[in-house]
Amino acid sequence: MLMVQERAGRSKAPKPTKAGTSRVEDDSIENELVSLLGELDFLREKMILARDDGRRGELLTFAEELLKHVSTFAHEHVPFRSSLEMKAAESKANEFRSFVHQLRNREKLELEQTLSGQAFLTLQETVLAYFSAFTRQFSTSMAARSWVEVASIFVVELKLLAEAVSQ
Amino acid sequence: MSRKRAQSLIAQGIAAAKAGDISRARLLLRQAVEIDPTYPEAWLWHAGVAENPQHAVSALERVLELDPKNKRAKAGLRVGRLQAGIQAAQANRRTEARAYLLQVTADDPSNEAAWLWLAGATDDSLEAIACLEHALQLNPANDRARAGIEIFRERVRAETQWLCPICQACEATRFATCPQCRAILDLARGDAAIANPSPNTEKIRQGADRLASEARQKPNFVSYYYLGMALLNLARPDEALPHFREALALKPGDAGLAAQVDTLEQALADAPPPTVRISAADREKYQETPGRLGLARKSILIVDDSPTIRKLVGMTLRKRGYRVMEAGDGREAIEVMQADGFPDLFVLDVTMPRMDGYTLCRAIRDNPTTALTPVIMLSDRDGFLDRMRGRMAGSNQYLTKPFQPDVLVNAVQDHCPLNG
Repeated sequence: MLMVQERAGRSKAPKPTKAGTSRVEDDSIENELVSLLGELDFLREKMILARDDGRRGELLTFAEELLKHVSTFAHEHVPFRSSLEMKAAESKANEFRSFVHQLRNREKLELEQTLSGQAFLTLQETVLAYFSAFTRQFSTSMAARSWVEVASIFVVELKLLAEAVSQ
Repeated sequence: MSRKRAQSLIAQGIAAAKAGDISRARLLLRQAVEIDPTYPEAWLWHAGVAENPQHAVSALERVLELDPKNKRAKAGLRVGRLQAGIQAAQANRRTEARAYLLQVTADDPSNEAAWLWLAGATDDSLEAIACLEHALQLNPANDRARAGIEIFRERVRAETQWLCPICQACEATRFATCPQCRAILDLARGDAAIANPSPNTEKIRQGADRLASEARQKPNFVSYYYLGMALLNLARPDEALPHFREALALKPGDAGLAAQVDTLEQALADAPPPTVRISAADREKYQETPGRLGLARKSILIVDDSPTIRKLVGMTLRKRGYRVMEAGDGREAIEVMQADGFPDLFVLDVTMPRMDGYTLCRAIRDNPTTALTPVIMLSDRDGFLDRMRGRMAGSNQYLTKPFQPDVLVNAVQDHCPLNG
């Protein structure tokens, strides 16, 4: 019991809801998510440009930045870091980081495309896993409906980018 | 060296595939064909462990490019294309499904399953009938094909002849607003239906009675949906709402309808609807009152090639009470305006395919109807010259990406206040 409390104390608490409003009415998490998604889509567009211009190093940097935004958001807004969704997301994030490490430290370029493709597909899966965790922060599925709709469009766009990178 | 490496990877990949370690086999074989794509055997095994039938088909096509007589690849390709076609059809990627299935039926016209799936993947009812007739020739006992032919024949009849679902007037072409009862027939235009200036109330009322009776006797989506539309056109949205809910319950996966029903519900919660038809004078009064059943909602046209940004901005502005239209580029924006009318404000992305934001902004300024409509430009370029370019094209405000939703909402409210 004590351990649980200590762990809970270490993680940053979720932002309090506005006084007098229920979680359903309080759309602060949605506003935060909208800001996050705006930033992520901005990075996605930069990644497309970098890929089109063949700037693979920058492409990786933007991908890392995108993941950093998502994981920072998760650390600030998701109180239960030991949830299944968060564990899955963090394990995928580690997988992505290991791909990036391999890509940055490769001397031979022969398998770069395969690895890049896998790295970006893993990034897409990581983002999807984090988004699932964020969706849990809404009090009801009804309240999360708009967010889910927009987030799913972003995830599909990210997958298209991953597929383009692997080709 | 690389050839040797490829051979070693192929051997390891085949061993992994035989041992059942499919993901490792896939990775090794993919690496092998990237290093040296001239081994038919590698492509063949690659097809065998492919993630999906589409990948398997591509791999088998490579085998046949390298070895056109390869029998295993030929046989595999027929099965792979059929599976790829079926999978694409199930995922509603109809064009892709049709392409695969056309290849299957061309290679093997005796494939009954391919004809059946092809019938389902085509958008042309006559082509679908032809496919089903092929299937029926191959197997005269195929009841699905026979029933399908009847359905498509009915569809052909319906395509060439249109019946108003409310008043049942018969017309040669399809209408979004019935020329006889003058009812608006789409919930996406629910605001316009509630404010319908010239409905034939008698015909609509008769239609509503018939639909109510149909819905009671045999509950079905069409009866509930159009009963709701009839009541909206009679300016009785509170009575229409339960029927739309019933329709939605019969089509729970229809996200578009769910969103429209939500919007109506929200509008009714915000302001109780008038129970009598609104007079012209009253309508003017309502139009000055923002949010009242959405009658006077200001409309914003978002033009951005990123679907995420379009949805994001749309969601944010809809919550503030705006009506939002979306377009993916300049040309689509023009089509949207031709279909849905001119907006009260434009939000334009600068970098877009086909027609960029600057060109569209100039076109907006050159059109007398939109010359004074405010334009907000969104750009990822923050340079002085970029801002100047935006100004010179005629934009009222220039925001740089990534933007905070509140900043955009404030800009929209400054230029296009809801109660302005």
